[in-house]
Amino acid sequence: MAAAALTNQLNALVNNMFAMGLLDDQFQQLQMLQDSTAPDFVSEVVTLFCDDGERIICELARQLEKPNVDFDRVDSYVHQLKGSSASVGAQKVKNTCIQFREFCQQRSRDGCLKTLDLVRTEFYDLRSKFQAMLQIMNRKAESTEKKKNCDAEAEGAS
Amino acid sequence: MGGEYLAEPEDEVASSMWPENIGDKHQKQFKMENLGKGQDAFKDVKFQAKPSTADVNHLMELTNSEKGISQMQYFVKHWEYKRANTVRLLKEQIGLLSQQRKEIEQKKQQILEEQRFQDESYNAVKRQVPILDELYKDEWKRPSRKNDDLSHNQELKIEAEYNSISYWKERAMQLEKTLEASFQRERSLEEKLEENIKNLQSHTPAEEFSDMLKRADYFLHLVLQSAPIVIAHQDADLRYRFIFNHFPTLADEDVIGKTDYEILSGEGIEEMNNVKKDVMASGKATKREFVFNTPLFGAKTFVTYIEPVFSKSGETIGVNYVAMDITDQVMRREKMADVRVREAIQKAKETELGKSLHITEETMRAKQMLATMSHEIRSPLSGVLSMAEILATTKLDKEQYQLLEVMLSSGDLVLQLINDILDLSKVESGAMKLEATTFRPREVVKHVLQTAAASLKKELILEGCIGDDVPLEVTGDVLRIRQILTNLISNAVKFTHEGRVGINLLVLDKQLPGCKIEGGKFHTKAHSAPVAAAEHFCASPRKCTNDTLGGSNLEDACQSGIPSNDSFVEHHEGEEVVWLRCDVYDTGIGIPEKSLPLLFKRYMQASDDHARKYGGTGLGLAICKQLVELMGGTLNVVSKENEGSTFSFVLPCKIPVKEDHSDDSDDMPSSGDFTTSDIEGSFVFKPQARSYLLSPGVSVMNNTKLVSGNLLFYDPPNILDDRKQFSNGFVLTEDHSTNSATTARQSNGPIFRSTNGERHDNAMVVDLNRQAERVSSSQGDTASVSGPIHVEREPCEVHEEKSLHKKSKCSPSSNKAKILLVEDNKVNIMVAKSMLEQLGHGIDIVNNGMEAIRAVQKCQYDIILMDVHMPEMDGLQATKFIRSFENTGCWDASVKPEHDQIIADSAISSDCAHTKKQVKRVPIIAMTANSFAESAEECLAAGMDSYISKPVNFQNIKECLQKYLPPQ
Repeated sequence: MAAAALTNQLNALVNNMFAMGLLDDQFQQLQMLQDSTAPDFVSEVVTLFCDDGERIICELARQLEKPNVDFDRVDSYVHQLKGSSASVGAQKVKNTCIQFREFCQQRSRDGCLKTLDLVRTEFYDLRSKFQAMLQIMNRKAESTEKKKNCDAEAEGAS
Repeated sequence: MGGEYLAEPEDEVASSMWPENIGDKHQKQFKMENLGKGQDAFKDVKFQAKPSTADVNHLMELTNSEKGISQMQYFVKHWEYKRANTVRLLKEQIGLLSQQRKEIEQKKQQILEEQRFQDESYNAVKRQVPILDELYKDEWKRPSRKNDDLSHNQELKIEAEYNSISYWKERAMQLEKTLEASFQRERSLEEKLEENIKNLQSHTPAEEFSDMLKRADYFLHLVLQSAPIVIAHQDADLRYRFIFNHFPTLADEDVIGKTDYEILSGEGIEEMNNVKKDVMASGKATKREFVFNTPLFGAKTFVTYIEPVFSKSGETIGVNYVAMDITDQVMRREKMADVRVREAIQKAKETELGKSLHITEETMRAKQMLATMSHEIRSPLSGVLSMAEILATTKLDKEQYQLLEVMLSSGDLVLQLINDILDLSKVESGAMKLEATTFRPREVVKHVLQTAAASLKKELILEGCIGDDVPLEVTGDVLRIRQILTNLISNAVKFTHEGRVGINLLVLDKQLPGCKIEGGKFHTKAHSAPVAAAEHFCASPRKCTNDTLGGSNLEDACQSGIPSNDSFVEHHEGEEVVWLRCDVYDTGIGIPEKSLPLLFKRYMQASDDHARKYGGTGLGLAICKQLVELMGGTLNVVSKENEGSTFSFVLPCKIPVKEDHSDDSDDMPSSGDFTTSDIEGSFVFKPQARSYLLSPGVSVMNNTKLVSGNLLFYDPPNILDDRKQFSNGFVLTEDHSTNSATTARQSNGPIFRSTNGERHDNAMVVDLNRQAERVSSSQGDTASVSGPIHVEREPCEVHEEKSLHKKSKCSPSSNKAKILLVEDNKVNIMVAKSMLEQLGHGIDIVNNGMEAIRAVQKCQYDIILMDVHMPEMDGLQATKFIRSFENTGCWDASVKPEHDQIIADSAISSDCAHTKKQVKRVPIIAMTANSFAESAEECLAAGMDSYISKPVNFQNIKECLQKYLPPQ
């Protein structure tokens, strides 16, 4: 019963994220990839995305602080972030990354800094949602584990 | 009206008659304004009390002097000239007057004629003419032309009708008036002329002189009244006869008739008087600066012009001098000079600084250059040496072998030298990094001694003694410590011909509680003054034998202010720090005291003799010292000539926390054999002659006596069992084959090889060994070999993975499709990998284009999924290279495989199916992000077959694979 509630909660959260435009179809691809052979696939990918994204954003901030901004470098970082976000279906972040790359192309430091702020907010926003999602997924996994154990015990008892 | 009338012409006349600056034509010494009434000019000028003082009687004498006479002559001349001038002017005036008179006569005549004509025409007033004649006679004496005009004008003013009687009457009246006025003028003119004549007569020379003199005097006073000068005249006895002093400090009577000495005393007076005397004697004027310091007016500087005064007969009768106070100027000048000197010094300093800076830069560059060169030399040299060593294992005749030995030993020397230089420049540039590892000091000492013993060519006893309280394990940079010890030991061995060489290792101040306090006292001093400690060591040389060392060392250490253990620990909480003191002593030739300071300098040896006799570069000790200091310790030396030397260094070492220690025995299998009891406190290596091992080659090389103690007998003092355990490490043939034991290499070829095998197991691959392996394997040795540079014949073997990159895997051939995923984004990799795995494909993953090419060089793939935008080499570039290889069969030079053999051999190798000459075209699918930098056209143009847009999803990846993968 708890598992069902958690599933509902999770679905609601994900649906909400879709509705808000945070995610796109690509995320469903990830969900499709999760099966018995890779039960934690989504959480793994999402965790990787979160870690990687945070690293890149930090790096971007650092690069843009420099007196002489190496825009090619910034661009390649943004490209990475864009690739990652596209892969997990983080639509909003991806779109902002596209903007960001345009500013890189224009060599506009101000534009870059502005979009960096935007990307950061969006990323952290998404990450908090993802984290919530991961928590629910963990609890769900725990509860199914428990349930299995209970079942096993029950089986053993019978 | 008459007065006014007179005034005008007078001015004109005077100015023309007395031109200004009349004296300029004549050379005049007093240049003054020639004001008619000179006194007026000085009305406003107030003359203060006349400071000049004069002896008038002497002036008479002076007038008799040459100068005075010339002055008088000048006056007379001037007066005469003036007179002549006046006469000339008067004459001129007379001439002018007479000319005017002539003109008047003419005019009169004319008028008279006119008058006569009128009389004749009109019979009226005939009788007036003779009267008029008379009247006009006087009237026309007037000289002024102006009056002509006036009278003429008057004539026209007659109003009455011409030729009427009233007209003539009027005219007569007017003429009468004019006549009267004319008379008056003439009279006044005459008066004036008379006056002038009187004046001329009254100007006697005396009057004029006094006038002139007065004026000169006034001018002089005007000029001089604010001039800070002293003008004086002194007679032949240098007594003052005249003095003008703007700032009189003394009354007249105090000065006149006195000499300088009588008036003044103090610095400068004597000098001035001497100069005055000189001037009188030589008769030549001079200008000098005198510095006075007298009680009367203090310290002052005067510039003084002194000229002699001669009498008519040419005798010197005194001097005139003008002195001016230039104290301020001198001060300023001195200040300027000072500033200039300072500036010059500054400039010189700057230049010097610039020079030294330049030199420093040059030196740094040279050092860098040396380091670079050394590095560049080292690589090929090690190649040469390893080849030579391999050559030594082949079949050679005796002579060849000897030559090879020389080659090897020389090469080793060079290599050592280069290493030294590199080390030194590393330490100096601060690039040397210390590594903290846990090690066993006893083992280190033993190994160093062993190594030394192994290459020992003399009859020396090598001994080691380690204090009981030296911790079993300490943390420090063991490599560097070994380096220091080895260096010191090899030095000791080099300079010792008989006796012993040894190492004592002890912990400072743990044994002697009394020392602690003393050490603490010295604590502050010790950190700042390692040099002082060194001096102390040098000051008390003592003979170093094994027996005496124990106690005295500690004493010395404490005296020289090595910080106590306790005080150090305070700074490093948690970890205990011990100060280890290591003495390397010998009974060799010792070092003369005067050479001690040079000992640790680079390229310095105790003496040139030593350098010739013993060789070496003098780098060793410098490196040791720098290394020790880098580790926070000090290196000192105590020596006595012909008795021996002791090099001591003190190092802080941390004692590792206990649990590390227990782990270590498990972690390090090499040291795992030793338990605490295994490592005893002292060991001795004694040389043992093994004549049968002596190869002639060695003895030729070594130049030593007879003994070539390459094999040593180790004599454990305590336990018999130890022998076995240590023998592994100690028997030379096994342990030091590459380093030193050249004889072993020849005689024990097989052992050499097996040693290499062992080393591999321990993952301690030395460069030289690798080379050896290669040869051994190429000789047909079937021993399993691996290593980064080894030639692999089977690219798909497991070994090959390592030489590639971590992530590239060649999955074993199966009927599953092999996919190469080229992608640099971790998240993308994860997603794509997961998808592909779900689709049931085996994939290899690489991170950039270059790696993709390497992977393609190793393996055959069914399809490549290639990201476009990647670091190092992008997907387009990589695709081009791969396509180019597929078309031509050979790789582009820039991406040639590391081992050309792979490609070359693959043609004939039968077990690898993919290495057919005709290379199959592999489908390459681009994964584009649909961004501006990655257009689909570009991908196709680069040789890609298709593209899928990112993010990849099941649908498009499946479609793509279905399309491009061969049907299974």
